[in-house]
Amino acid sequence: MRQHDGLTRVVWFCRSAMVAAVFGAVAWSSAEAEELRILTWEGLADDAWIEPFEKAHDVKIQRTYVGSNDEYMAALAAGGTQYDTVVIVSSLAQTAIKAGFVEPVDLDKVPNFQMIYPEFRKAAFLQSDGEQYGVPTFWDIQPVTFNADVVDNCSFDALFDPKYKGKIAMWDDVSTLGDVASYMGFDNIWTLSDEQLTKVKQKMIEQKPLVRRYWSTGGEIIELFMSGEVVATNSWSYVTQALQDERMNAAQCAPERPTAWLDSHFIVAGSENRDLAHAFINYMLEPEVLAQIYEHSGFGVTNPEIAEHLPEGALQGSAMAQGPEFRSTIRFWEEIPRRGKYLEVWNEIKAASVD
Amino acid sequence: MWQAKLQRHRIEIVCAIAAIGYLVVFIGLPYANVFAFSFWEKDLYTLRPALSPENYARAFTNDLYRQVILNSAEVATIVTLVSSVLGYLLAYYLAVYAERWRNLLFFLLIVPLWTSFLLRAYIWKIILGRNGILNSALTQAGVLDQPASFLLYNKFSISIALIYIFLPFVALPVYAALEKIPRGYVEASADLGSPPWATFWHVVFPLTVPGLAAGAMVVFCLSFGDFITPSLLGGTGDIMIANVIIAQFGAAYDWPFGSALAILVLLIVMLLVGLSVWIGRTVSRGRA
Repeated sequence: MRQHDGLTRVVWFCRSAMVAAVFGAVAWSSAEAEELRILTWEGLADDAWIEPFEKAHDVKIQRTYVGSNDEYMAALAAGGTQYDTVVIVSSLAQTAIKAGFVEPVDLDKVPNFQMIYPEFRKAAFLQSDGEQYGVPTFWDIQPVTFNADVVDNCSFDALFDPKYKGKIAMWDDVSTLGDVASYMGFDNIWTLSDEQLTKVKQKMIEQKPLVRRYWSTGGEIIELFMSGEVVATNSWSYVTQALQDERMNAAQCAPERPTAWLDSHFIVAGSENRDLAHAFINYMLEPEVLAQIYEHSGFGVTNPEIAEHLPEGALQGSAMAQGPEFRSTIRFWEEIPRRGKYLEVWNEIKAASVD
Repeated sequence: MWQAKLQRHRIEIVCAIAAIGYLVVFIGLPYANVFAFSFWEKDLYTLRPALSPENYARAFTNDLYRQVILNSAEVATIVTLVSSVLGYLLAYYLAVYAERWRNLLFFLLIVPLWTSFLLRAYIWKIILGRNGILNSALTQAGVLDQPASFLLYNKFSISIALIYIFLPFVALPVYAALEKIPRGYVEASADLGSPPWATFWHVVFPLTVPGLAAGAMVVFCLSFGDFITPSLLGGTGDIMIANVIIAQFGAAYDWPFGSALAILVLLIVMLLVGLSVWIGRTVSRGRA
């Protein structure tokens, strides 16, 4: 056996690893100059409408995507002013305002605000001390997405149907607890007592043998459908839309007792690009832009004038097809006072073994 | 006089300063920080310095945390055992039998290390999935009637990916140890009438134990603390402790509780590693 060979090779390997690391660091540090940094969902910031804004304002938009609403808050809590604008869901709006993560918007700089459904403009959870903080932009119910080749009868029941054993997916998010609680008939879905939470937990543990996967990002659930791993999930309209774009026979339906959300644009407290951030939020409300987002993502938007930019009947099946009555009675996701407890229960469900 | 001494030990002093500096900056300070955090309190999205044992109490009173630590320990043990055996065999073949293929095979062993960890875990989805490479091959060959779902999204798929990823961490130090054994030792043992397996067991193997132990320890610690592989390849019941910890720093925004869990994991891993080192020493002393 030759003496130093092994060692020389290890040294040689380490050296090449170091060279690679140095090159990586150099590439990483060469950042852009003028930037607007947005924290958003994948699907809401496509090149198709982001690039025109970049050209018009000569700015680079730095997009950061997150996979769950909780991640937004953690990113804001940890990050200081790493972002200029952020999209926050109805349930966390007041929390973000109280925590000082966001600052009021100057509505004079967002003229398109007046185009928004009046019911949403008045939403109390987007205001504080008489000032407007959030600009409602997207809303939708949480549908059930299914593979229509396999599932014939769409409803929330399908997610608990032993027929689809091992082919069900559920969103890895606390709001799934709300979906299931609502399905079970609870009205106080965001303020469940310990006893009620235990019932929801039991229901979801019973469901586990049917569940293939708790998914966390849109990309992941789309891939799970495409690769035939799953046939139904509680979902987002965006997922259904993306699957249809991939020419899959996918469809969605509203659960019997749906939960719904409203996502609003906020300006991150301490942003150094206030004017640009206002311009961006105003731009995002343009009917042409929102029409594209609706077509691309399937999510409902808050500007009814998009209808003029879409083919006849394009809004059919969407929450946007509903009248003002629906919009003024809809109960959006609310703040969860015992968020930590909900998350712990969710982790207990995920850790439970069922064999 | 002391100047001459200083002169003589110059390199030694520089090395010591570098080592201590590294330990303080990259190990001492971060762990001290985590330890301090573990006694803090939080309300919603604000963290408050405190001296509260509450976080540790919570970790001990809820079965969830014991369960996920056991999940991690189970996966880490399986991965360590299998990659130690396979890595050892591989290194032995490479060092003893490979001869003119040695350079090529060695290259093939380390080439996956140049690829991202994430990619190497992710690729197993494509291999093991219901419509994956393995299932397609098995159904086409007539071994399976319909694609099997038990290959992916369970502890099996987590373990196989981790074994694949960590195998070189055992194979490399064992190979280095094998290469350093002078041929004379093996020949002397043979000349004295020892059969090959006895030579291996009494001469070669003991000389490679330190390399094997170092590799196995690294594999155990890395797989115990991994969170990417279980989140990519794990099933509905396979979350590991690292997933729960990362959720405390992300979704839950409970850094103090996450820190307490991290300290507990650190203690458990240190205890297990210390125990195995002690057993290893006792065994080798007994043999000598």
